[in-house]
Amino acid sequence: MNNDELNEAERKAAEVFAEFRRRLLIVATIAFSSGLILAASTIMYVGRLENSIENKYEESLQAQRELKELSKRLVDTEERERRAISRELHDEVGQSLSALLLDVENLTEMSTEDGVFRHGLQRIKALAENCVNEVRNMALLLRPSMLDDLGLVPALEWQAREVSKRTGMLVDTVEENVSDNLPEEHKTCVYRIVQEALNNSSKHAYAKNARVTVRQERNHLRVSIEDDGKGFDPSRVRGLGLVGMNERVSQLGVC
Amino acid sequence: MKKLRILLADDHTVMRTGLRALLERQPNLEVVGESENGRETVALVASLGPDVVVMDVAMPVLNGIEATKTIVTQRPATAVVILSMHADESYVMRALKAGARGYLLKDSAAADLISAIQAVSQTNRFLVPK
Repeated sequence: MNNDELNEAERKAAEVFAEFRRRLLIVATIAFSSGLILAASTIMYVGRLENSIENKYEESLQAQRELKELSKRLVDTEERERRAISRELHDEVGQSLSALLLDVENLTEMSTEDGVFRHGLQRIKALAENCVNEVRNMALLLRPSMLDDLGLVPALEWQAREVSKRTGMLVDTVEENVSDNLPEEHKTCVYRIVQEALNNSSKHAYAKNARVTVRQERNHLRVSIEDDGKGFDPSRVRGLGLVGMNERVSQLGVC
Repeated sequence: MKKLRILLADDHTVMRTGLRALLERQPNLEVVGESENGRETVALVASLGPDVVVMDVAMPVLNGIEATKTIVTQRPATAVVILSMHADESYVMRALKAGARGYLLKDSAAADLISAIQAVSQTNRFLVPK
């Protein structure tokens, strides 16, 4: 082997090496820049994703707020309608029927004959009396006038008597320091919750006795309804009634 | 015998007309006036001095219960009979606390009002529980 051949081989090797470096550089550059592009687009994508999740979250919060507002308005409207119909029945229909009864009585007194005419008047009278009682009961069941006229305590006591009479379950009420001037929504809320609970006690728990306790403490009103029925596990049973009670209380904006 | 002088307080005209017809059939009763709200009733009691007021509860301006309170302090000689649509005892209690001497239901007025008026004019109480 001579020197020339050796130099030639060295030169070739250097050429191959240079070529290899050049390619390596190109590949590395391409890899690096595509990595950079990938990273950048990933960051942008994640950013966009984050943004949209935030928007979606905002939207769902907003929807939740709107749903709450809507359900509050629904409850308020129902109560307002009930009050209006109850008043209308009681004050207008009931009064008119009472006036009619008076007129029938006056006619009966004035009539001299005692045949068919008098008999007819007696029938009208009986019918009107029936209607008055019917209207009175309907009005009370829709919304008891005591709630607006006399306050929460008389309304709860009436409800207890009424439930006892209707279902045979004995209801006892205990009220301590309950103010006569509770806000309208609070009175309605407590009244309706007690109504729902007593309904559950007699219908689902088959209770024979129930006790409603309402106690006003410094900053809150404590309401409890106990019965001797078969009971239930609140972590398992979650009927619409309980959800409704919860909803009513949370609408007062105190919890 | 001196006739008992009655004032009718009710915002329903039909009711007043019926009551007047009922009372005027009685020889010993005389309807001396009618009013449509509580304030007017208080004023008429002062100017007419009736023996008995037949008082509706749900009246505009001043309700029957508030009017009764005023009448009882201003003119105790006048007896008040409340004529109400409400049968519940809590309403009866409120009326008695206000100073009414009688309480009866509108739909039983024809049967009970005459005896209620006679009773309260002799300072007895008259209640019709249902």
